[in-house]
Amino acid sequence: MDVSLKVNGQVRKCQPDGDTPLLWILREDLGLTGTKFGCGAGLCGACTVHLDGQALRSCVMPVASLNGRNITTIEGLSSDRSHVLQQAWIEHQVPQCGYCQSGMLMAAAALLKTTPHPSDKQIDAAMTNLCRCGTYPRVRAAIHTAAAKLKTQTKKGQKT
Amino acid sequence: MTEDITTVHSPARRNFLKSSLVAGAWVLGSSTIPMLDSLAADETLKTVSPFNSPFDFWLSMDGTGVVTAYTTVTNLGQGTHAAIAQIVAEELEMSLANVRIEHAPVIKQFHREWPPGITTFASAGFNSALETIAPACAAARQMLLQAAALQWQVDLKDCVVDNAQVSHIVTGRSLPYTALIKAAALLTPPEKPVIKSPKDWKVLGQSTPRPDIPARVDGSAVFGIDVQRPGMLMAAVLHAPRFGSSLQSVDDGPALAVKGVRKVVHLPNAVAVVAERYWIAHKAVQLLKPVWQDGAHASINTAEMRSSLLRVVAAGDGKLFPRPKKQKEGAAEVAMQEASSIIDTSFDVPFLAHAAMEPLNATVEVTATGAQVWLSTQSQTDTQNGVAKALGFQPEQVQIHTQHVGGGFGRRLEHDFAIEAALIAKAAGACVKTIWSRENDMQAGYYRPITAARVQLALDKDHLPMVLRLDTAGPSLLEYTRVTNSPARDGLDWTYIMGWFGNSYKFPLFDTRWTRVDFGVPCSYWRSVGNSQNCFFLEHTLEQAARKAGMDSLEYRRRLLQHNPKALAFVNALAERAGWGKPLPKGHYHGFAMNGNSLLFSAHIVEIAVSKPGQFRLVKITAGINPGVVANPKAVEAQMMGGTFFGLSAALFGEISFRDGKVEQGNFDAYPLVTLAQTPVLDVMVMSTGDKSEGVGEEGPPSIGPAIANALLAASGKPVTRLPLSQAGWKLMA
Repeated sequence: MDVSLKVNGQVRKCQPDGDTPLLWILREDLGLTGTKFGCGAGLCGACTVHLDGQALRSCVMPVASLNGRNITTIEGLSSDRSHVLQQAWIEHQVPQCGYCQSGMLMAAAALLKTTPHPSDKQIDAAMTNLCRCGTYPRVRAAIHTAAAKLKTQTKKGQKT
Repeated sequence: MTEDITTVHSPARRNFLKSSLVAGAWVLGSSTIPMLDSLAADETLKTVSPFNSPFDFWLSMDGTGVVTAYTTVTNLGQGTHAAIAQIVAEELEMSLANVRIEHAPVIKQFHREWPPGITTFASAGFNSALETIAPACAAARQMLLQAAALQWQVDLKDCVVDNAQVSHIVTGRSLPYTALIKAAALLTPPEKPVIKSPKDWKVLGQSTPRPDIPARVDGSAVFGIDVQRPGMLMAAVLHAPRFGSSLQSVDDGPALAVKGVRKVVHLPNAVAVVAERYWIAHKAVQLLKPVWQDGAHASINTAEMRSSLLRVVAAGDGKLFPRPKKQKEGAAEVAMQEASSIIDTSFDVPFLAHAAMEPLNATVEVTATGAQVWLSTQSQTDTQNGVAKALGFQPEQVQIHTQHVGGGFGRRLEHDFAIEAALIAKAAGACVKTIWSRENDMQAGYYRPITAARVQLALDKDHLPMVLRLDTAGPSLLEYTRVTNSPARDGLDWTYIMGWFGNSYKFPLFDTRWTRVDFGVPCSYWRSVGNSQNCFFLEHTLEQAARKAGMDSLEYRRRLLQHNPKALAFVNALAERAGWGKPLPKGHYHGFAMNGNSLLFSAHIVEIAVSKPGQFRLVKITAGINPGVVANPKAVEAQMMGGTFFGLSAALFGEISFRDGKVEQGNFDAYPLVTLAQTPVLDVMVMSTGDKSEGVGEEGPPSIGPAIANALLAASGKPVTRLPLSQAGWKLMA
């Protein structure tokens, strides 16, 4: 079947085989390897992307059901690492091996969209991505930093 | 920093040299006369003489001021590349912004003695760079100084380096390195260049940001699994469900009938489907119904393995490890008889999987004359040799392209998956990327061995140790691993005594025995190796001794550290940091454990809360590490944090179990990893004393579980005799 998606703002077409998950279309057909394969069962979150702004584990979502939808991958978070979360991730030196971090960032970005100033408990509930290298405390700190920056930016925005 | 390391270095020497000898650039250290002859005649290159230097190929400098150092240490995310960049900036007195660190090509010039070949283990990366890259930089610095002095016709002693320039202090003249490279390259390198002493460090010792982190926040870092090659096909694999089984027969039809499938490959213990897309390969391989011929251990199950190991250690007939040199023969046995009391505990711990987030994978292209392998690996040389042997080539015919690694932890020291991928690619006659599913990865073995131990600690009338006796049993990873490393000695697997003799506590006499009990399950190095179980056996025994003595846990440890002021200082600092001894809320308990390593110190103090038997909360973890000199404090902190959580998952839930010969765990539902929500506050104390630096990569995992077990003992009065805690009757609550 023919599937048309908007990925990072661009219309992309593909002809997936039956129930191919979005993850493999992104990685193989579209060459966007920033989104990672970790478990294939929706358990680890390494494959997290945004579907119309909401976090989605792409390894268990058949692309055929996403015709016409908007997908954002880690490559679309910014073109130059300028997203407030990416800046916070660098400031706090969050990654170790980095393999889980695309998914981690996308999950954090989705959280900040709905909850701009999350509490630790809200971060606990939303950030269920697995990290084998133990970066969790820095993930938490970076989310708080990003949230604080957003608050300042919003305030400035309101002033003008 | 050059992120694309897939194409930087072909091990073909000609291409490698060409890439670094352009426009007067200079490679430090190449006994490369034959190679230079083979290069195209170029006036510029002709003026650059080859070096006869003991620092082969470690550095190259181009005309823009960028210095590239080639490291044999794989970037696993452990921060070593950052520290190596600091070494270069330090020794060459230049800006970090102009330093690049790249994986060395897998050629003999870069082979080390220890770790052997090109390999990343034993937490030896930083020290290895101090032995190779640091002297190369110091030599280069010296030669740049000399070149300037010669050019200006001035005294060498009046020349100094700073900020990538050489200056003449008398006249104020200066020249950037870029203007001196060619002339410096003609000089004789100093035989014994002197590297800076830590007390003179300006760049090392700082928490400089890792230059490889930005590529990890935008999805641009290329991991093994991300490699893309023209015309590449994808493969998925079904492994025999039991170790020791072989493929007897399989009807390829159901897979071949699937559109997009190119080939079905039969391997000794697996069947693979090669297809145009990974998902097609993955679905098609599930359609196959292979018939397996089972081997000798076809019906192992964990209950039986545990009971047989515990029986063996109870019997006490194990093979004796050599006594410490000063210990007289028979002294331990005599002292055992004279003991006032003996703490006697039998423990057991399970197989553990590494479960790196990037599932094992390799991309291979095989031609008539050789092969290329793109992969995440910790063992380039062993992989090169192993793949070459499997394909019938010489090692030099196999090119290894190291990618960024999505977690090593020791699993990527093995190259079983690379050989498999090579055989698949050869059969397919195409470039093939073989990706293991999480289930493949979890169930393919090379685990931390299942182990049982009976620890008998003989105490004198003051409850202080007289004899430490260990009877331990389990499979020998040295029989299974394909990592080039120290072999078993006299039929003894030395990994079973890691952290035992070489810990900081004082034990007057040792009696140490091991029995090999094999189950046909491949085992290998798991981050911290033998320390991962021995710290638990030892520290939980010491905890029971402290209780018997009616002493505070730390006070008891202090008694055993009287002879070791450095260890004592470390323990005291950690105790202060964690608030040990301060009154805790009702139902809260502290637990302490220190890893058995005499070269550096690492330990945990945990605070738990127990509301009812069998349930506990983690309130706080205080981790401490003193690795001697610290190259990058934030990087060391990150390693200790990561190691802590790695060990925490194992202690809380980690278990690879068997039923009817098969691994029971396939994915993260059955082999859980600790989540962000489950991690309490973790405070890491990084101490830095001394003038030597020890590797920190394996210092977190051993002591976190024992610290929790010790706190649980304080809470309940009952020893914890097995891990994971979930199997020992202790559930982690939110």
